[in-house]
Amino acid sequence: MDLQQFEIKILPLKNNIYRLAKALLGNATFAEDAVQDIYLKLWGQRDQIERAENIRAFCFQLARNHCLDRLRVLKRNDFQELTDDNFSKERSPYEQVEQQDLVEKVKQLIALLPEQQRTVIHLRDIEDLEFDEIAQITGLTENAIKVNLSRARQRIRELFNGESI
Amino acid sequence: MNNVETLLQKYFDAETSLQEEALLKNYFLTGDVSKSLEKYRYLFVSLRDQRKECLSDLHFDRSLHAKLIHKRHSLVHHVVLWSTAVAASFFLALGCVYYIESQNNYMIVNGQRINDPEKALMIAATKLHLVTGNFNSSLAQVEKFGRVGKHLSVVALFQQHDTLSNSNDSVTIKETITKNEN
Repeated sequence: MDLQQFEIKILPLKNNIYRLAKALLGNATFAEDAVQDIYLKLWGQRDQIERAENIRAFCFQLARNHCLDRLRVLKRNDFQELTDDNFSKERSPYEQVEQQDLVEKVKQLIALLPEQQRTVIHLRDIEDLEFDEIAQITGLTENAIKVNLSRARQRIRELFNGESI
Repeated sequence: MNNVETLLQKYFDAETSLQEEALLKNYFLTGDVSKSLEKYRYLFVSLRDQRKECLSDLHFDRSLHAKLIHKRHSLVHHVVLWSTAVAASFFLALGCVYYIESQNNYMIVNGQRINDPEKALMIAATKLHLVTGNFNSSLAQVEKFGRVGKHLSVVALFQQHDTLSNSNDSVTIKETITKNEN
Protein backbone atom coordinates (compact mmCIF):
# COMPACT_ATOMS: atom_id res chain seq x y z
CA MET A 1 0.00 0.00 0.00
CA ASP A 2 1.58 3.26 -1.09
CA LEU A 3 1.03 6.67 0.48
CA GLN A 4 -1.72 7.64 -1.95
CA GLN A 5 -3.71 4.45 -1.30
CA PHE A 6 -3.16 4.86 2.41
CA GLU A 7 -4.56 8.37 2.33
CA ILE A 8 -7.55 7.30 0.24
CA LYS A 9 -8.45 4.23 2.28
CA ILE A 10 -7.35 5.03 5.83
CA LEU A 11 -7.41 8.80 6.23
CA PRO A 12 -11.24 9.07 5.96
CA LEU A 13 -11.42 7.09 9.22
CA LYS A 14 -9.62 9.83 11.14
CA ASN A 15 -12.76 11.22 12.83
CA ASN A 16 -14.03 7.73 13.72
CA ILE A 17 -10.66 6.96 15.26
CA TYR A 18 -10.64 10.30 17.03
CA ARG A 19 -14.08 9.67 18.55
CA LEU A 20 -13.06 6.22 19.75
CA ALA A 21 -9.86 7.65 21.22
CA LYS A 22 -11.82 10.39 22.94
CA ALA A 23 -14.35 7.91 24.31
CA LEU A 24 -11.57 5.75 25.71
CA LEU A 25 -9.21 8.46 26.91
CA GLY A 26 -11.93 10.87 27.99
CA ASN A 27 -10.01 13.89 26.84
CA ALA A 28 -10.00 15.70 23.49
CA THR A 29 -6.35 16.75 23.68
CA PHE A 30 -5.17 13.24 24.53
CA ALA A 31 -7.37 11.92 21.74
CA GLU A 32 -5.94 14.32 19.13
CA ASP A 33 -2.41 13.34 20.09
CA ALA A 34 -3.38 9.68 20.03
CA VAL A 35 -4.81 9.93 16.50
CA GLN A 36 -1.44 11.13 15.16
CA ASP A 37 0.34 8.24 16.86
CA ILE A 38 -2.30 5.76 15.72
CA TYR A 39 -1.90 6.88 12.10
CA LEU A 40 1.86 6.52 12.29
CA LYS A 41 1.37 3.00 13.66
CA LEU A 42 -1.14 2.24 10.91
CA TRP A 43 1.37 3.44 8.32
CA GLY A 44 3.91 1.07 9.84
CA GLN A 45 1.42 -1.78 9.46
CA ARG A 46 0.16 -0.87 5.97
CA ASP A 47 1.09 -4.29 4.59
CA GLN A 48 -1.10 -5.96 7.21
CA ILE A 49 -3.92 -3.51 6.46
CA GLU A 50 -3.89 -4.67 2.85
CA ARG A 51 -4.33 -8.28 3.96
CA ALA A 52 -7.03 -7.45 6.52
CA GLU A 53 -10.55 -8.69 5.75
CA ASN A 54 -12.11 -5.63 7.35
CA ILE A 55 -9.91 -2.55 7.14
CA ARG A 56 -12.16 -0.45 9.38
CA ALA A 57 -12.16 -3.11 12.10
CA PHE A 58 -8.37 -3.47 11.81
CA CYS A 59 -7.90 0.29 12.27
CA PHE A 60 -10.31 0.44 15.22
CA GLN A 61 -8.58 -2.53 16.83
CA LEU A 62 -5.17 -0.86 16.56
CA ALA A 63 -6.64 2.42 17.81
CA ARG A 64 -8.27 0.73 20.81
CA ASN A 65 -5.08 -1.12 21.74
CA HIS A 66 -3.10 2.09 21.48
CA CYS A 67 -5.61 3.95 23.68
CA LEU A 68 -5.64 1.18 26.28
CA ASP A 69 -1.84 1.30 26.44
CA ARG A 70 -2.05 5.06 26.81
CA LEU A 71 -4.74 4.67 29.46
CA ARG A 72 -2.46 2.41 31.50
CA VAL A 73 0.16 5.16 31.52
CA LEU A 74 -2.47 7.74 32.46
CA LYS A 75 -3.82 5.51 35.22
CA ARG A 76 -0.40 5.37 36.75
CA ASN A 77 -0.75 9.13 36.94
CA ASP A 78 -3.98 9.02 38.94
CA PHE A 79 -6.39 8.91 36.01
CA GLN A 80 -9.64 7.58 37.48
CA GLU A 81 -11.94 5.26 35.63
CA LEU A 82 -15.25 4.10 37.01
CA THR A 83 -15.42 0.34 37.38
CA ASP A 84 -18.46 -1.90 37.68
CA ASP A 85 -18.00 -2.10 41.45
CA ASN A 86 -17.70 1.55 42.30
CA PHE A 87 -20.29 2.58 39.73
CA SER A 88 -23.20 1.03 41.61
CA LYS A 89 -22.02 2.28 45.02
CA GLU A 90 -21.28 5.86 44.16
CA ARG A 91 -23.85 8.46 43.40
CA SER A 92 -21.21 10.95 42.39
CA PRO A 93 -21.21 10.24 38.65
CA TYR A 94 -24.79 11.38 38.49
CA GLU A 95 -24.23 14.22 40.89
CA GLN A 96 -21.28 15.41 38.86
CA VAL A 97 -23.45 15.87 35.82
CA GLU A 98 -26.58 17.08 37.61
CA GLN A 99 -26.23 20.69 36.56
CA GLN A 100 -25.96 19.93 32.89
CA ASP A 101 -28.72 19.22 30.42
CA LEU A 102 -29.69 15.65 29.59
CA VAL A 103 -27.87 15.54 26.26
CA GLU A 104 -24.62 16.38 27.96
CA LYS A 105 -25.48 14.05 30.83
CA VAL A 106 -25.75 11.08 28.47
CA LYS A 107 -22.34 11.91 27.09
CA GLN A 108 -20.87 12.23 30.57
CA LEU A 109 -22.51 9.02 31.67
CA ILE A 110 -21.06 7.07 28.76
CA ALA A 111 -17.64 8.51 29.58
CA LEU A 112 -17.99 7.18 33.12
CA LEU A 113 -18.87 3.63 32.11
CA PRO A 114 -16.32 0.82 32.56
CA GLU A 115 -13.98 0.49 29.58
CA GLN A 116 -15.60 -2.54 27.92
CA GLN A 117 -19.11 -1.11 28.20
CA ARG A 118 -17.88 2.26 27.00
CA THR A 119 -16.12 0.76 23.99
CA VAL A 120 -19.04 -1.46 23.05
CA ILE A 121 -21.71 1.24 23.31
CA HIS A 122 -19.48 3.64 21.41
CA LEU A 123 -18.83 1.22 18.56
CA ARG A 124 -22.48 0.22 18.34
CA ASP A 125 -24.43 3.41 19.02
CA ILE A 126 -22.03 6.00 17.63
CA GLU A 127 -20.10 4.13 14.94
CA ASP A 128 -22.97 1.79 13.98
CA LEU A 129 -20.83 -1.33 13.76
CA GLU A 130 -22.17 -4.88 13.50
CA PHE A 131 -21.57 -7.26 16.41
CA ASP A 132 -19.03 -9.31 14.45
CA GLU A 133 -16.96 -6.19 13.78
CA ILE A 134 -17.11 -5.23 17.46
CA ALA A 135 -16.04 -8.76 18.32
CA GLN A 136 -13.06 -8.43 16.00
CA ILE A 137 -12.05 -5.11 17.54
CA THR A 138 -12.53 -6.00 21.21
CA GLY A 139 -11.78 -9.71 21.13
CA LEU A 140 -15.06 -10.37 23.00
CA THR A 141 -17.68 -12.91 21.98
CA GLU A 142 -20.93 -11.63 20.50
CA ASN A 143 -22.72 -12.76 23.64
CA ALA A 144 -20.32 -10.84 25.88
CA ILE A 145 -20.75 -7.81 23.66
CA LYS A 146 -24.54 -7.97 24.04
CA VAL A 147 -24.23 -8.29 27.82
CA ASN A 148 -21.93 -5.25 27.99
CA LEU A 149 -24.13 -3.27 25.62
CA SER A 150 -27.26 -4.10 27.53
CA ARG A 151 -25.68 -3.06 30.84
CA ALA A 152 -24.46 0.20 29.36
CA ARG A 153 -27.83 1.05 27.87
CA GLN A 154 -29.67 0.11 31.04
CA ARG A 155 -27.49 2.50 33.00
CA ILE A 156 -28.36 5.29 30.64
CA ARG A 157 -32.00 4.36 30.99
CA GLU A 158 -31.69 4.68 34.76
CA LEU A 159 -30.63 8.26 34.18
CA PHE A 160 -33.87 8.97 32.31
CA ASN A 161 -35.99 7.16 34.83
CA GLY A 162 -34.69 9.59 37.40
CA GLU A 163 -33.34 6.92 39.70
CA SER A 164 -30.22 8.79 40.60
CA ILE A 165 -30.73 12.31 39.35
CA MET B 1 -44.48 3.88 14.68
CA ASN B 2 -46.71 1.77 16.83
CA ASN B 3 -44.24 -0.72 18.21
CA VAL B 4 -41.74 1.88 19.40
CA GLU B 5 -42.01 0.92 23.05
CA THR B 6 -41.36 -2.73 22.26
CA LEU B 7 -38.47 -1.78 20.04
CA LEU B 8 -37.09 0.51 22.72
CA GLN B 9 -37.22 -2.32 25.23
CA LYS B 10 -35.37 -4.55 22.74
CA TYR B 11 -32.84 -1.73 22.30
CA PHE B 12 -32.14 -1.53 26.04
CA ASP B 13 -31.79 -5.31 26.11
CA ALA B 14 -29.28 -5.14 23.22
CA GLU B 15 -31.49 -7.31 21.06
CA THR B 16 -32.07 -4.91 18.17
CA SER B 17 -30.43 -5.09 14.75
CA LEU B 18 -28.74 -2.08 13.15
CA GLN B 19 -31.81 -1.59 10.95
CA GLU B 20 -34.13 -1.50 13.96
CA GLU B 21 -31.81 0.90 15.74
CA ALA B 22 -31.85 3.13 12.67
CA LEU B 23 -35.65 3.17 12.86
CA LEU B 24 -35.51 4.21 16.50
CA LYS B 25 -32.98 6.94 15.80
CA ASN B 26 -35.09 8.21 12.97
CA TYR B 27 -38.19 8.22 15.14
CA PHE B 28 -36.61 10.09 18.03
CA LEU B 29 -34.72 12.59 15.91
CA THR B 30 -37.27 13.45 13.26
CA GLY B 31 -40.62 11.98 14.26
CA ASP B 32 -43.43 13.19 16.46
CA VAL B 33 -42.37 11.65 19.76
CA SER B 34 -45.05 10.72 22.27
CA LYS B 35 -45.00 12.49 25.65
CA SER B 36 -44.19 9.30 27.57
CA LEU B 37 -41.09 8.68 25.46
CA GLU B 38 -39.95 12.30 25.13
CA LYS B 39 -37.24 11.86 27.74
CA TYR B 40 -35.47 9.28 25.59
CA ARG B 41 -35.15 11.83 22.82
CA TYR B 42 -32.14 13.26 24.68
CA LEU B 43 -30.40 9.93 24.47
CA PHE B 44 -30.58 9.80 20.68
CA VAL B 45 -29.78 13.50 20.32
CA SER B 46 -26.71 12.97 22.47
CA LEU B 47 -25.60 9.97 20.39
CA ARG B 48 -26.13 11.99 17.20
CA ASP B 49 -24.07 14.87 18.59
CA GLN B 50 -21.27 12.54 19.58
CA ARG B 51 -21.33 11.07 16.07
CA LYS B 52 -20.69 14.57 14.69
CA GLU B 53 -17.57 15.14 16.77
CA CYS B 54 -14.42 15.43 14.72
CA LEU B 55 -10.78 16.43 14.95
CA SER B 56 -10.31 20.11 15.65
CA ASP B 57 -6.99 20.15 13.82
CA LEU B 58 -7.90 21.42 10.35
CA HIS B 59 -4.39 20.74 9.11
CA PHE B 60 -4.34 17.15 10.33
CA ASP B 61 -4.24 15.67 6.80
CA ARG B 62 -1.44 17.97 5.70
CA SER B 63 0.68 17.50 8.81
CA LEU B 64 0.17 13.73 8.72
CA HIS B 65 1.08 13.68 5.04
CA ALA B 66 4.29 15.59 5.82
CA LYS B 67 5.10 13.18 8.65
CA LEU B 68 4.51 10.12 6.50
CA ILE B 69 6.62 11.58 3.67
CA HIS B 70 9.36 12.30 6.18
CA LYS B 71 9.04 8.78 7.59
CA ARG B 72 9.22 7.27 4.11
CA HIS B 73 12.20 9.45 3.20
CA SER B 74 13.91 8.65 6.44
CA LEU B 75 13.36 4.96 5.65
CA VAL B 76 14.97 5.43 2.21
CA HIS B 77 17.67 7.52 3.85
CA HIS B 78 18.30 4.73 6.37
CA VAL B 79 18.51 2.11 3.62
CA VAL B 80 20.97 4.24 1.61
CA LEU B 81 22.97 5.00 4.73
CA TRP B 82 23.18 1.37 5.73
CA SER B 83 24.08 0.25 2.21
CA THR B 84 26.85 2.85 2.06
CA ALA B 85 28.10 1.81 5.49
CA VAL B 86 28.15 -1.87 4.49
CA ALA B 87 29.96 -1.08 1.21
CA ALA B 88 32.46 1.16 3.00
CA SER B 89 33.10 -1.53 5.63
CA PHE B 90 33.63 -4.11 2.88
CA PHE B 91 36.19 -1.98 1.04
CA LEU B 92 37.88 -1.05 4.31
CA ALA B 93 38.18 -4.73 5.23
CA LEU B 94 39.47 -5.51 1.75
CA GLY B 95 42.05 -2.70 2.08
CA CYS B 96 43.14 -4.04 5.47
CA VAL B 97 43.59 -7.56 4.11
CA TYR B 98 45.57 -6.23 1.13
CA TYR B 99 47.75 -4.10 3.43
CA ILE B 100 48.45 -7.02 5.78
CA GLU B 101 49.24 -9.27 2.83
CA SER B 102 51.59 -6.66 1.34
CA GLN B 103 53.31 -6.29 4.73
CA ASN B 104 54.00 -10.04 4.78
CA ASN B 105 55.52 -10.04 1.25
CA TYR B 106 58.83 -8.21 1.45
CA MET B 107 62.57 -8.77 1.03
CA ILE B 108 65.55 -7.26 2.76
CA VAL B 109 68.48 -6.07 0.63
CA ASN B 110 71.53 -4.73 2.42
CA GLY B 111 69.41 -4.28 5.54
CA GLN B 112 66.78 -2.34 3.60
CA ARG B 113 63.15 -3.60 3.52
CA ILE B 114 61.68 -3.72 0.00
CA ASN B 115 57.83 -4.02 -0.26
CA ASP B 116 57.45 -3.07 -3.92
CA PRO B 117 57.22 -6.37 -5.86
CA GLU B 118 58.58 -4.89 -9.14
CA LYS B 119 61.57 -3.35 -7.42
CA ALA B 120 62.17 -6.61 -5.58
CA LEU B 121 62.01 -8.55 -8.85
CA MET B 122 64.56 -6.22 -10.47
CA ILE B 123 66.94 -6.57 -7.53
CA ALA B 124 66.47 -10.32 -7.50
CA ALA B 125 67.15 -10.55 -11.26
CA THR B 126 70.31 -8.43 -10.89
CA LYS B 127 71.53 -10.54 -7.99
CA LEU B 128 70.74 -13.72 -9.85
CA HIS B 129 72.64 -12.46 -12.87
CA LEU B 130 75.60 -11.65 -10.62
CA VAL B 131 75.44 -15.09 -9.03
CA THR B 132 75.27 -16.75 -12.45
CA GLY B 133 78.33 -14.77 -13.61
CA ASN B 134 80.30 -15.70 -10.51
CA PHE B 135 79.22 -19.30 -10.84
CA ASN B 136 80.40 -19.47 -14.45
CA SER B 137 83.81 -17.98 -13.66
CA SER B 138 84.14 -20.33 -10.69
CA LEU B 139 83.22 -23.23 -12.91
CA ALA B 140 86.00 -22.23 -15.35
CA GLN B 141 88.51 -22.23 -12.47
CA VAL B 142 87.32 -25.63 -11.36
CA GLU B 143 87.73 -26.98 -14.90
CA LYS B 144 91.34 -25.70 -14.94
CA PHE B 145 92.00 -27.53 -11.72
CA GLY B 146 90.42 -30.58 -13.28
CA ARG B 147 92.80 -30.55 -16.23
CA VAL B 148 95.83 -30.15 -13.95
CA GLY B 149 94.51 -33.03 -11.92
CA LYS B 150 94.23 -35.24 -14.97
CA HIS B 151 97.82 -34.46 -15.99
CA LEU B 152 98.99 -35.18 -12.48
CA SER B 153 97.24 -38.53 -12.52
CA VAL B 154 98.95 -39.39 -15.83
CA VAL B 155 102.33 -38.61 -14.32
CA ALA B 156 101.40 -40.76 -11.36
CA LEU B 157 100.54 -43.58 -13.69
CA PHE B 158 103.95 -43.35 -15.36
CA GLN B 159 105.68 -43.46 -12.02
CA GLN B 160 103.58 -46.38 -10.91
CA HIS B 161 104.30 -48.22 -14.08
CA ASP B 162 108.06 -47.67 -13.81
CA THR B 163 108.14 -48.76 -10.25
CA LEU B 164 106.07 -51.91 -10.46
CA SER B 165 106.96 -53.60 -13.71
CA ASN B 166 109.69 -51.60 -15.43
CA SER B 167 107.94 -52.68 -18.56
CA ASN B 168 107.69 -50.13 -21.34
CA ASP B 169 104.50 -50.39 -23.26
CA SER B 170 104.22 -46.86 -24.59
CA VAL B 171 101.17 -47.64 -26.69
CA THR B 172 99.13 -48.72 -23.68
CA ILE B 173 100.24 -45.65 -21.72
CA LYS B 174 99.30 -43.35 -24.55
CA GLU B 175 95.89 -44.94 -24.75
CA THR B 176 95.43 -44.51 -21.07
CA ILE B 177 96.39 -40.80 -21.36
CA THR B 178 93.98 -40.32 -24.21
CA LYS B 179 91.16 -41.96 -22.21
CA ASN B 180 91.87 -39.79 -19.18
CA GLU B 181 91.90 -36.64 -21.28
CA ASN B 182 88.52 -37.53 -22.74
